[in-house]
Amino acid sequence: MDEQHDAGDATGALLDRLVGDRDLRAALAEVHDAAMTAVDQSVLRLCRDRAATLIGLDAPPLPPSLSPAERACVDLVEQMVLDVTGVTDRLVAAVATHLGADRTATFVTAALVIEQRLRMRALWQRLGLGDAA
Amino acid sequence: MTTAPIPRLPDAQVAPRLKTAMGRWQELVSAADAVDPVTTELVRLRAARHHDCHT
Repeated sequence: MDEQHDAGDATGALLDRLVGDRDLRAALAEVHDAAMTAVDQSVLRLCRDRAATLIGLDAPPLPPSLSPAERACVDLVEQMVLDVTGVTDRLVAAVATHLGADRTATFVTAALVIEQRLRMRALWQRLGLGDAA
Repeated sequence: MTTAPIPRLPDAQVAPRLKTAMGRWQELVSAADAVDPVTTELVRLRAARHHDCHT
């Protein structure tokens, strides 16, 4: 399994270092790669950076202006991160207006993968397990 | 007793590769034995309540 990570994926490098089980590492790498290639990467990266900021990780701020599709996706991910039970029909419909139902379901799943990775990284940092350079 | 939520996108399909990868990841996590089964189930239930998963 190719476990190369993109230049911005410090979480991937950390997972490689801390997750001892080879199959789990491979599955983590595969689900991340599947998430990043299933949706518009530029939108997903925006959402990743916003989620990282909300979780307390260092991340670039959002650009000063977003397209309506980007705004809708970021708004949904913000709510998912802050309190997933607060996700509303309106937030989901706003994304579906731009992406359609299937791509919205895919986007939400991809966002979940990204959020999970960020939370693992944040937890390990708080436990003092360090971060990859 | 709570009822299951109504799906917002009832017929939506997640991209196959991502769906498969998620399933594999969840399967491995479920099978992991680093933590005892009771603790695992307690954590699962707590997370499900937090996420309102209706599981």
